[in-house]
Amino acid sequence: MTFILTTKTELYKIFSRPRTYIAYAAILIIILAIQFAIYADGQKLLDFTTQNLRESFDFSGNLLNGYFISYLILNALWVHIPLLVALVVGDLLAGEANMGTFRFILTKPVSRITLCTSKFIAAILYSASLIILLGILSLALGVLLFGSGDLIVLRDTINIFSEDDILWRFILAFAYGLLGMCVVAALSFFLSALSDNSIGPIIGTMTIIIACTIFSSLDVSIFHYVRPFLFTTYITEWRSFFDYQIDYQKITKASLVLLAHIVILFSFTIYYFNKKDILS
Amino acid sequence: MGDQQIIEVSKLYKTFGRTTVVNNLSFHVMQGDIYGFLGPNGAGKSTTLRMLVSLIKPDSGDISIIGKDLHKNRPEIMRSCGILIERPDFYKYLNAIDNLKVISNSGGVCVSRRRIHEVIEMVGLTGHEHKKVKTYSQGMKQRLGLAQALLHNPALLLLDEPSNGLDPQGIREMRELIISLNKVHGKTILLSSHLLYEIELMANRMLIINKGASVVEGDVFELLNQGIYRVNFNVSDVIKAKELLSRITNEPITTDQATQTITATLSNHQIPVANQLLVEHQIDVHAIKPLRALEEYFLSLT
Repeated sequence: MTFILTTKTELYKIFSRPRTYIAYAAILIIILAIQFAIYADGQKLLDFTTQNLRESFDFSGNLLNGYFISYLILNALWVHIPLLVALVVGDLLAGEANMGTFRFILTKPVSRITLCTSKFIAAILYSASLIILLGILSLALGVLLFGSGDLIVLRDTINIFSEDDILWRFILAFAYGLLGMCVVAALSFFLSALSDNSIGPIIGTMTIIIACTIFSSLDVSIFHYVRPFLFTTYITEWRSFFDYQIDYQKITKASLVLLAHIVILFSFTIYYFNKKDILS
Repeated sequence: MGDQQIIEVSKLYKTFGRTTVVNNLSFHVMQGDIYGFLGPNGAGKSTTLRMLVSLIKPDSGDISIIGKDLHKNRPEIMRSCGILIERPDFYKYLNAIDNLKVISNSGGVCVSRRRIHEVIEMVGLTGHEHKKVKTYSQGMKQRLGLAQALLHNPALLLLDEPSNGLDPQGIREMRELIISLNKVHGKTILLSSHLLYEIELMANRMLIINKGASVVEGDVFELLNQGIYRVNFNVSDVIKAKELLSRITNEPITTDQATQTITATLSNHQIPVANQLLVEHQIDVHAIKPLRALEEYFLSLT
């Protein structure tokens, strides 16, 4: 009962703050801008992307459709969503310390573990809302503006999916993307527990993501040993849902690694926050 | 006052790095007390209060509240306590009602809207409850801070410098409210302050701490009115006055030629005797200013 009350209150606090809506507005504006730009000049982009292929293949039908636009948007935005997650989640504990409101809340009967868990659940729900908004806006608006059709995906091979074989791939890709954003949320939440101001966790989260992304992508032998342990190695695995033969074993392993990151980071957060002296 | 110990603190220690902030502190608060917790800035008052409400973990020592060990029974104890630690800070983007609701719900306490309006009225914020807290003055925030402490109708209040930031009228109103909470509503109150006169006006018992350690504890009236005073005489002839006063007291006498002031430690009944003696020896006495010994000691700390 207490847990439900505190979680509802944490959600209320998140959605009472103007900064929460900056993230939604950012997603809305970026997606509208991309879709408008493609609407105006998209055929050139598609021609450019497929110019080498046109020598060997004959393309017909509506290739510049809502699904193709959504796939482009997903590729473009997955690096930006973590910033929007960190913007709100990084403030959840550090913001209370900064404002001095912990002096009220933590002198009430609630335990620190309950409060911390409620805040984290609220953070996950907020992250989910971002991903759902991203999905709805990119897919629904894309299909509305550009119509539907087959999806061309250029990975190691050219994958062409028929219209009735696409939606479930997007749903699973968004679900996996949410798992990735939960790791970002857990990291940001952990840094938020360490700090008494909100800027530190936001910058810290982005710095760690950028550093880990470099370590994951640079083909240098020294990084080969750490690469399997970095969440950034697995965070783009959502693209595997757009393979002909989906490697579920690889996706399951990646999901488990991401899940392990969430559990470990959240456990550290609980441990640290539970013994932290509130001096603010 | 009651004979039940509401707060019992024993051998409390807390260090930050190499600095000992609270040093072997022990005291107890009885049911029905307004217990003054007095000390200069930096004496360790807020750290002690933060340990009493589990915001800070002590290095060692025992804290028992309403007869229960704080470490083992924190949720139950917190249900009986209303707490205001240092300056009150709120969610600036919410109004007073939403702040009270959010703070209590975040802390796992569900309160009715009616109770929120009751406490808002009790602290004199009626008419301002729908304004966002970012528009509030420091005094209004202080009142709202007290309102959140009263929300769940606790039997024990721990108030850290509740008059901070208030104007003289606000200080008086806060004082009257605290006394009324004790006398009318029967609440036990632990009141921290760095102002002796504030404690004197409200508390029945008090503890003075300095550098984290207990200096003196006891009944406020008895401690402050032991009948021993440091008395400043503003006189026309300081040297002659010193010689005369040394006939009636063995305590050290200090003089200040620049201000024509002589200071002696005298008992209550020695003050008129000293005055008569000076006048009889043709020394003009321009002013007599008695300062209670404990008051003077406390002022020397601050």
